[in-house]
Amino acid sequence: MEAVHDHSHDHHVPTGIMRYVTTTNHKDIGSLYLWFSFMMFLVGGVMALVIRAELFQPGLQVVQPEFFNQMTTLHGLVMVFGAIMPAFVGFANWQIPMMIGAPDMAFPRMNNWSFWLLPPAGMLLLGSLLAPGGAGGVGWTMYAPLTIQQGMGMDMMIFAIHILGMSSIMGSINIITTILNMRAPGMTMMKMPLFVWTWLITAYLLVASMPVLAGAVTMTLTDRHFGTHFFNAAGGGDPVLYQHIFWFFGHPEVYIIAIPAFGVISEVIPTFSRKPLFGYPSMVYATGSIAILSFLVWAHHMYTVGMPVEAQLYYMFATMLIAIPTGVKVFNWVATMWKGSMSFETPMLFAQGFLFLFTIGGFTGLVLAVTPIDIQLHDTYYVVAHFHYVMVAGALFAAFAGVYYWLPKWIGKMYDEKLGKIHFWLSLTFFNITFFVQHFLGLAGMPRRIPDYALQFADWNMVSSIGAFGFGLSQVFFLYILLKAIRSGEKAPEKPWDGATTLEWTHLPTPAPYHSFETPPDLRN
Amino acid sequence: MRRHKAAQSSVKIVFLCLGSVTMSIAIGFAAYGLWLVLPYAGLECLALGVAYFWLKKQANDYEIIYLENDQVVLESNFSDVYQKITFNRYWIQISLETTKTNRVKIYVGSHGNRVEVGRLLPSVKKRQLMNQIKSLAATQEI
Repeated sequence: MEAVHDHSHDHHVPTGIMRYVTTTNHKDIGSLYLWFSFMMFLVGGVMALVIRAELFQPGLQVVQPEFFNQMTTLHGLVMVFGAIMPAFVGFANWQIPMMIGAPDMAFPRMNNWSFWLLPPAGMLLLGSLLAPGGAGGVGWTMYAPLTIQQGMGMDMMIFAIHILGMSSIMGSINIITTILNMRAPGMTMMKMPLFVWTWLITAYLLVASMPVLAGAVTMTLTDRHFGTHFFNAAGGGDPVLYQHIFWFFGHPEVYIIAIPAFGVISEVIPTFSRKPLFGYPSMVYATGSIAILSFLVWAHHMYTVGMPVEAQLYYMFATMLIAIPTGVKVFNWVATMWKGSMSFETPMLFAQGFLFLFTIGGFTGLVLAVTPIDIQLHDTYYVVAHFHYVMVAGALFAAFAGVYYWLPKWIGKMYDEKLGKIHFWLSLTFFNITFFVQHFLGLAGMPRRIPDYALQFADWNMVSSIGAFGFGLSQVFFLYILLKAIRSGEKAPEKPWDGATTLEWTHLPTPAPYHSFETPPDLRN
Repeated sequence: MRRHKAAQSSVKIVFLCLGSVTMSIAIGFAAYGLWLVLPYAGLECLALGVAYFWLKKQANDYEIIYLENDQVVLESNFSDVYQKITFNRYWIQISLETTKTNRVKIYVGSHGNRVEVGRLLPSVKKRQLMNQIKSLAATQEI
């Protein structure tokens, strides 16, 4: 007779606002991340609509050029650091412990910290608009020497980025240690769900790249206030060096956003194809290869600053090389569906949308990898279209797929399937109306980050702006679908997706209990 | 049943790989004059090292309470410090105390010696544990 116990947390569910302030529960923190990211997504979306309203017609109608620049800057920063990254950290918090049979994250208190750093950072970022001179109008890349000429809002943005970076690093350390040390017996590395693998790789990317960003913005700060001249050519600094350091972080950042999206899609497609993921080991190795290659191609963002032909060739071919592991993933997803018993509920529709549109974004990326073409298209709307196909149709559609897929597990209620499908078709249609036409604008030579443009670009800009407003309203509709599901959704069955095979569906009730897997499941057989 | 943990040697390799990549990047930038990447990389490696060290320290923690003949045995291993204490089941006293910060502590002891048990448990579970120990001590048959 014996009583054995190990690390665990309170069994009762605390209530009120303090529940969320003091919580160390991975599910609560996951929800906080997801709601925070959705709020930031709406804020960043409004900024995008300000941009598109101004670009609806040539000439200046809605905002002044300075404010337009601030909007493009904040839209990028808010969407990348405030919306998409926290959204996938939210997924990680909810899903990783449940998928590996762990009771919580390895460092629950640090988990609480890493979330609660986000709201002050968000406030600093948005509050910079109220600073004298407004927010920094420098673009999300914050190139020197423009950053040196900005007002106090720039400092606020720098501090916001520091705090966001700290949050990301804490989150990454937590994720790495959780995955390495808290798996259920029998959950070997090569049995882990691909979503967990993608997050492990993403966490490594974050750990490797975040100090670079922190250093870059600190040097920008010291250039602004402490008399250094790292990037200020007027004092002997090198602005191009800033571009190198920024893109050394910036390109892996693209994959920090995209790789967890790959993970979500790798869960959704097999479930709705009712087949195991095709080529699981190759998916793991392909993800690892993409992560490694992402550190070796940064200067393809800088072909136009001038570099030796040998360097151009290297970056061109290295960039093209990424298409190979990415192609492996796309073909594996397609092969998973091949002869599967497929059904097209909303998560699968978004996964299909992801697959189709992300592949287009990948192909336009290949076009841009070719140095002579990139020199023509650099800083045009073609680039804007390309990265929105990757970021919106890639990451955001995957996030939607993930929310619809796991919502029944999280809240124990079903969303309205009909409304979900309407949301998908509206998003797909308006997304393409907004961004597909931007390829034409870019090919015709329209530069990005301008509030006014030549008359020849008027028609497609009008179409793009109409699409943007439609896309924005579609996401308000998504909020309605979520609230409807939470308030009055039908009770979810124990396993709403019969093809789901991961632990949260096979070993836990629906909705998932507040504390799960306090006793680890035995998966050794 | 123990959780599946990466072997300490593997964790060390992971940490060394990650640390060396991060520090190499920082040193590379420092060589070009961008030395301010270095302190951040150092801090990050330190945080990662502390996290691994903390986990390593706690990796083998456990506490077992069982009955052996007429003895209640408290066996524990915290931070690699092994302890085995026995109390006569007929003389055992179990007390529950609440600290100023509302933390609940359970003490088991007899004849002036007492030891805290269930340190890793939340308050609600500590009360359950206390009842379990009481019924264990009162058990007629083993």
